[in-house]
Amino acid sequence: MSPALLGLHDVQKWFGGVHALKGVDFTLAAGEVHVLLGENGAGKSTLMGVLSGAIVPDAGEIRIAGEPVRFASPRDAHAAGVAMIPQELDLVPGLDIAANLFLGNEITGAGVLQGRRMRDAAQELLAKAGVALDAGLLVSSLRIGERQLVAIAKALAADARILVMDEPSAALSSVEADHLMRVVRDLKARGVGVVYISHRLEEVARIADRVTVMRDGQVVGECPPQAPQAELVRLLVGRPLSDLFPPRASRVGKPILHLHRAAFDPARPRAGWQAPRDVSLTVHEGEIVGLAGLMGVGRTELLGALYGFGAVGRWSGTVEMRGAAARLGTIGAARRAGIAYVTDDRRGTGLVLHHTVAQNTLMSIWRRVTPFGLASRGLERRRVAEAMENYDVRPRLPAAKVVNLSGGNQQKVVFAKELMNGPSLLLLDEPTRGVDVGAKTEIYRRLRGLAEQGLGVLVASSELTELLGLCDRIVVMRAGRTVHAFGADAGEDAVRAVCESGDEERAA
Amino acid sequence: MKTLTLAAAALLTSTTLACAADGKPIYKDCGPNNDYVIGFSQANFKEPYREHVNHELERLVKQYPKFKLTIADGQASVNTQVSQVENFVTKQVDLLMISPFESAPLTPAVTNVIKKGIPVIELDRKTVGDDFTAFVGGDNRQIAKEAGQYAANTLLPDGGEVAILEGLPSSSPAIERLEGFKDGLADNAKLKLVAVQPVDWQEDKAVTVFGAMLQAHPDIKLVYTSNDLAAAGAYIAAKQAEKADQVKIIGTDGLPGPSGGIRSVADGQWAATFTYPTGAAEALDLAKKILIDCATSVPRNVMVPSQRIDQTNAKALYDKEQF
Amino acid sequence: MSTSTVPAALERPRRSPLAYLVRFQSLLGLVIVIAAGIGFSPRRHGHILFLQTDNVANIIRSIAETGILALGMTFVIIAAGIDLSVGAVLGLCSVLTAELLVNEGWSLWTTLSLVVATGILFGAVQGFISTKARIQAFIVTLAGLQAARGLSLIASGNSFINISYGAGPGKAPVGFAILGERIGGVFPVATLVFLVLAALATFVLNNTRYGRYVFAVGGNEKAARLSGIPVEAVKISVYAITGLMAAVAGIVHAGQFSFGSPNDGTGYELNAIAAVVIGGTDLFGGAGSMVGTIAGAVMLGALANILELNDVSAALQLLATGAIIVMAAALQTFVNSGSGGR
Repeated sequence: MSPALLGLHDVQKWFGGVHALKGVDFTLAAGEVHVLLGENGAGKSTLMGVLSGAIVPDAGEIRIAGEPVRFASPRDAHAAGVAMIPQELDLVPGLDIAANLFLGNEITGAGVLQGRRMRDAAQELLAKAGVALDAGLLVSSLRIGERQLVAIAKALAADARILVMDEPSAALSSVEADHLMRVVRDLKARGVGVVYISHRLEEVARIADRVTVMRDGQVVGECPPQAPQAELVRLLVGRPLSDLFPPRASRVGKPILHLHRAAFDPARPRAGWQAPRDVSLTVHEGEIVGLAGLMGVGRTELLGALYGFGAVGRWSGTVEMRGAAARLGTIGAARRAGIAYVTDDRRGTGLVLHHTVAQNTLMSIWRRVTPFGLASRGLERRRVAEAMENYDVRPRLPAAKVVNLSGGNQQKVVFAKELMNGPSLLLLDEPTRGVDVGAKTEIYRRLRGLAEQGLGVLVASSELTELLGLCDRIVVMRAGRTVHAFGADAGEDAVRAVCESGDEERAA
Repeated sequence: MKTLTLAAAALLTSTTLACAADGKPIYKDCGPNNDYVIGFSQANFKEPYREHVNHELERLVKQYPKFKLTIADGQASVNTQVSQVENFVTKQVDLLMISPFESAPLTPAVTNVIKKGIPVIELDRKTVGDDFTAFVGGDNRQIAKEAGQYAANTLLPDGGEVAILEGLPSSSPAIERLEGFKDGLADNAKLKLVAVQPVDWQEDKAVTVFGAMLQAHPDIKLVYTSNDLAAAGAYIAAKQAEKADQVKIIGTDGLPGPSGGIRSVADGQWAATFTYPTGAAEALDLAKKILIDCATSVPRNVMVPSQRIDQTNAKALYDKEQF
Repeated sequence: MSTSTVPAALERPRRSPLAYLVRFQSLLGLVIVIAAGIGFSPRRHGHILFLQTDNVANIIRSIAETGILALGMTFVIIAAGIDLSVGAVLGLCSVLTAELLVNEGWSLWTTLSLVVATGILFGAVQGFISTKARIQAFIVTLAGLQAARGLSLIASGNSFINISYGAGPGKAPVGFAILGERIGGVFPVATLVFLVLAALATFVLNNTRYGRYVFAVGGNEKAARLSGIPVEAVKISVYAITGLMAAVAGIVHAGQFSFGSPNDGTGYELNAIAAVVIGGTDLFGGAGSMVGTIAGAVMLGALANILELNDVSAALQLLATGAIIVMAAALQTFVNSGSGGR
């Protein structure tokens, strides 16, 4: 048996006192797609860093085609034929595709760039990668999916034998994702080995030859691609799925938000901003309602239009809060109506990273802690202490800058900030993005606790497992419309089917 | 140059005498055996004319071994210059020389210096009122008027279109030179003033502005500029428009040296320039009288006359000044 | 990705000595400059010239106008903006004051009210344009700088205006001359105006809801918006504040020097920004201190004074000021990167 294209043996890595990789074994054969699954913090990023030369392991061995190698820098890995396609693509938007493919490796004659020769060579590379794009196009004019393909072509330009892809489908529509799958299968046929990192379970069956699951810095299982999803989840989180989520609501109260055939008409329509076109849904007191649907169907936009940001415009149709017609559309109106909102971009729009926990927590309620417009340090201190206690923000240091907190604790600060106002409806966009499993469980429990106190919750998520486990009802959206509502007992396959059917309608 | 200075000194016009009471010396710590510190507060270091004054003072002060000269840059800010005057008082200089950036704002500070018993010699521009020991300078209005008359009677006796490149608008020398030149032009009714634009004393601005003027008024025969730098800019613009022969240029300042106005006239690029005297030699001479000779009175207004530099004398002057 | 490896260092309160250094950098700098001033001061008859009452009075007088501008600038910079127009607005307001008092014969209080209103309006309009048309403040206020200079040339009829005092036409009310005087012959009235405004600005920034809003808007505009803070109103208002401060500085200028010129205040905006930066305020917004700004302004004045007392050449003075600004900024960046800042 010939040696594997890539072999890792007992790789170890410490960061300070943290043991990030606890002796990982991993192999990849030529022409194989090996999917690496893991939650945030499981160690897959570190492993990827080791493969691409960005992180030097403290112990262990890396072999390429049987030969031991040592990667001291990404340059070494590159030379050995390992190409990495990071999530944040390293393309220069202001340059055309050809220039990007040959960045740092330009074709010159007498010191002058040979534009035509580069474009021709680039066109050839694109064709090899199965990409039908003109090499003269600016990267900034491409969609995310197309950029992804350009990044693959760029890896091929460097004669990569091993391709490491970090969640390549995370930002793609399913049409684009399909195209990506085809390109990857193509590469496979040509003998390239692909390490495919993902947390999307549904992709596994479609593309993998082999699946490795990591948790807590260790490989916890290697499965064939046909392994049942429940088994994969159990491996991923280390316990049965049912333990992850709190029990559901016992009873629900009066309706808080009621939308019937509601549409939002933006004053200035923007490409890529899917306005809510025909939305009917109701959120009751004590109820957690999930918004499901593929990327780009308008989940985020619906929340944005309800809270009054993202676009200026007006609602038509029935929009009611607590049974009375509500004029939503501005942040002020939404807040007066008792709506709170937790953004999906915690670091970008949820928090002031270099401000303290206290400053962030109080940000939405300055009006209440400043009698006559004057600051009251006593009042501020009391409210912050209260909030930190309630939401278990650690460490309990009001003066700590939030940038120094863990993702989970940052998320708690965001929750504390939004809930200080005592809202009756909470809008959540991807509430568990970038937090680890432990913090996720805690967020789920807390959301359920809030619901039990009478709060209505509307949560949008791209993780169907999350919605299925957490929500009392799930509303599926497609192209700005609500198309179906499921109860708590809905089966995953049924919901997924509704999400993905009619995909062609969206493209139209 | 020496002869020029002496000739100028001979022409001193003094209206009144600054007298100390009872015939006492103007400065009480005067005498031939002491060393003296003279502070000079210059309005700014940006303009070539100001630089020229500084150089002249630094060059000439070497003839007075008892004097130590300190020059401070007022940075074209009355606030900064007031501070500097105050600091000279704190340092207890023996005599203050000052070219005020603007007159009125510096007046209280200078008054305060006089009150402390420190003599003040003002260069180029006076403060308001009587609180200074002596003033040495030229008359902007008069110099510009002479330039205007020269243009009206000698350069363009048959008339034609005339343009003016003004200095920094609203600064007093700019206003005085503008008005003086207009007065002089009145001598010849056939002259037509077609354009007046500020160029803030700057050469590059003069190139742009005068270039545009020549576009709008292709028949301009003469341009008066409020300083040599602007004249140099006007020449570049005229050359670019291929009208260097048609347009006669008059500068102001008449600075020496290879990049100065005297040379430009000698080279035939400009028709004339009018020197704006530095008064450095006269000021130092007054300082000597006050500090070393214990003068009880000195001339209060020392007007140093301007000299016209034109084709008849430019070359000789330029060659002579190669010291 | 490193969520599980995030520092345990914050388990106990800890502030590196360096962080303290930054927090009080301007005060520390001030102490150093004053110590250096005393150490290097020329002496005469055993007296330290630097510490003489007159000299101290001169220093604090010299910083009154830039100091007032810097107070407003602190608000704008904390709100992640910048205002390049303050020097020009100072000029405009100084000309307007002189013109209305001398040539138009307006009464003192109507003049002052109108000038202050002009400054506020000018700033607010700039803020409005920047906010509503989403043009960077740098550009809007750069345009504002030009516009204000143009307006002041129009207002003054391309000239400067000397203010003389007395009754009757062409004379300003005698009361206005007080701005150029010194209380007890020592303490400059202009500095008193600065101190009063400084106390007010410190209070507003540190002790009011509005101050909290300014920090939040500068820290993360989007997060502030989502938290229900009236972001646009806050942004417009900080420019109104710089306009107000520039107007007061212009009035002080006209009063101090009995003079109004369209060229007044040229380059003052840069001195004001320098004072703010030396005071430890972050040019990226969201962090800063009014006390720091005040100390920064005094420090610049003291530095210029000590250099001049020692006959340091103009060129070296500029170099020294530049070096201090870079040091202040470098210290801050260093500490920010150390604590995992932006």
